[in-house]
Amino acid sequence: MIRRLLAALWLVLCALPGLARAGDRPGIVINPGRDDKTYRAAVQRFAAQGGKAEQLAGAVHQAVQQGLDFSGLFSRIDERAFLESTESPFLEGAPAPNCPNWRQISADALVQGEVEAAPEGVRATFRLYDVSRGCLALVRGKRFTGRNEDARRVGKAIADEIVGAFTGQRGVSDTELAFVSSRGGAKEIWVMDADGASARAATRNRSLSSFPDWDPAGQAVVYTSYRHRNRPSLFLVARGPNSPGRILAGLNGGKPIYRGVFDRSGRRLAIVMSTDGNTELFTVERSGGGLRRLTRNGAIDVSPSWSPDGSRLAFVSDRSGAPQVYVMNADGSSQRRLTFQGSYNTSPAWSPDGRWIAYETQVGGQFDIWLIDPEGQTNAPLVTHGRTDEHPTWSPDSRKLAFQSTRRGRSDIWVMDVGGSHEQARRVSEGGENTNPAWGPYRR
Amino acid sequence: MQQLLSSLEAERQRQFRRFVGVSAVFHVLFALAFWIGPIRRSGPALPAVVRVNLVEALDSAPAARPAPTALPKPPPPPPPVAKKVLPKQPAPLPKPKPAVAKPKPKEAKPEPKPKEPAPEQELDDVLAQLRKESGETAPKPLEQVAAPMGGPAGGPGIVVDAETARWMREVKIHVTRAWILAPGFRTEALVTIVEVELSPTGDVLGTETRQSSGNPWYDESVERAIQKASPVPAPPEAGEWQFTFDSRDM
Repeated sequence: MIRRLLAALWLVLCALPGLARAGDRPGIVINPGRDDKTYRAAVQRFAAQGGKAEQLAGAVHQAVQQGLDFSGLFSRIDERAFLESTESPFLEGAPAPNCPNWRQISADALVQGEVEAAPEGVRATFRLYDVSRGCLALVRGKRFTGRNEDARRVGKAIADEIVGAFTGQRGVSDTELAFVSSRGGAKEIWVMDADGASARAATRNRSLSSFPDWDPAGQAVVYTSYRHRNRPSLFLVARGPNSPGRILAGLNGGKPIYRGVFDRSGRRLAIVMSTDGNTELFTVERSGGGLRRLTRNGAIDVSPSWSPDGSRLAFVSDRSGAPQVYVMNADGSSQRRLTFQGSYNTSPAWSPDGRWIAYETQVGGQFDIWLIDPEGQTNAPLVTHGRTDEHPTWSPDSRKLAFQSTRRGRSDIWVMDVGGSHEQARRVSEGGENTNPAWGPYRR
Repeated sequence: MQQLLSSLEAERQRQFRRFVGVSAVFHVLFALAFWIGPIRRSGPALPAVVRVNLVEALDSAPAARPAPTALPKPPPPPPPVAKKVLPKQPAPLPKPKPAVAKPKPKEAKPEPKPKEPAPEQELDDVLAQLRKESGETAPKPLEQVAAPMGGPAGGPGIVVDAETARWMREVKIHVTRAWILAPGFRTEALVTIVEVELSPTGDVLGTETRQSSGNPWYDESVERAIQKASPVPAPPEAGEWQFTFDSRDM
């Protein structure tokens, strides 16, 4: 009996080290590090049957890869490294992927899909596996359809879904940038995909056009043009054959309007209008009603930018003697200066998540882009370069910033990740002078 | 005659009593000699006892090295290591107080300082040999590491041995390499604390989130990093280890 008791005691003593809990031990703190690391995505060629479907599948597959590249979060694995087939199986009844073989090539994500040539156009379905977590299916089968000519958009939409599955926030490769370009001679409004693809002219005014801004539905762009009597006025260009043209005509006795910016509802604009010998800020309904004056002083007040909830506006005023960024309520109350560092701060852009206001600041003979929080507690440089970087605009996920830069000589549109550890901006425009980018909303 | 006889008788009795007395004294002396003898003889056994004590003292308290200061005397007979230690045994025991109480000048005067390192080294050699013989390993030097921020193992610092500290550095590098964080998360202050069960070979056997960041996708990136990092360098001890994933660059 005693022997048995002793044996039991011995066993308990032997097991004690194995029962050690983490709380008894020192913890290990992991920080992300300064390297820009990316998830490695293995994208199998989408399965398709028939010539047309195969052609569409190729376009979708390529666009998925391009969309993942643009995310800055994924890098693709060359299919020559695959230990499994480069072709995706048809999804229905497909066997589970051979996870060890995907893990062997250090894949984090595995994308499979199929494409059909449907009567209405291309129909693509994809499946996403989280290889690191034992090929857990993050997306079991999601379908996108579009016209055949929209096959690339379908692929980018899939890429954005993949980004969303890994980050909780949809990617933005299937969004658009409006900007001003002189590539056709006159400065016109152009629109391109966020990665620079499919650039096309939105206006042919043959007159100076500037300051484009999207309506929140992504169906129209408001901009300033000197087309009407060579005076600045607001115009609206919409998708489809019928564009409204000039808007807010005759407002306040037909005073020049230098700029208009939609609020998030799309029913109201903040405008910069010439009044009492200088520019002042107003809000007005899209229809032209409900004009409200927000600023009243002898200084120049320009560059309004809405807070995402529409309750406040950031703007620029030189009332202190030099241009600085200010914040006020949407009714013009509680105006206060936000920037105190730097002698020339302008072009504020409030992030869609409300956390930051990007603005340009003069440093020596050129401009850099800085971030400041709306309360002015944190103020930090974001884009610093020997050449001028200016006119920032946020992606709808608040994770990227587009801006114009002369870092390659002429002015071009560049895109970079906010929060990226390096200044890894990529140029997305080509030809002529390209300025005044405005990032559009998610497409519906 | 009667008187003579009686005086003779008295003399004989006196002699008998003296004999008995002397005999008793001798018996007592012999008895004392036998009784005290063994006690005296136990004296020479002291060194053996001391030797045992010395071995214990050196093994259990390697940091307490006042012994060399108590042993500054010339160590002439070098050959057998064990013999060299034994003669010195009595010294440390009775003399610690005087040695400590001695004023500095006494230490300064002799100036045989070059000799001091030698006995230390020899002691180390002896220790090493004794350990070798007994199959023991050298005691691990201690190291203090920072406790995790806000972790339950918290506190100003936890003392870990050098081997654990080295492993912690290695595993930190290993897991950091496997952790991919979307740039958007870097602008937020997110912290996830996970308990990871490790096998003796470093395989991840299981994870349990002790504290969520509040962002499930961030937490998933942490889980992904741990699974991707498996196997990590073999831990000094299998079981649960706590990892704190902090989105801020430190």
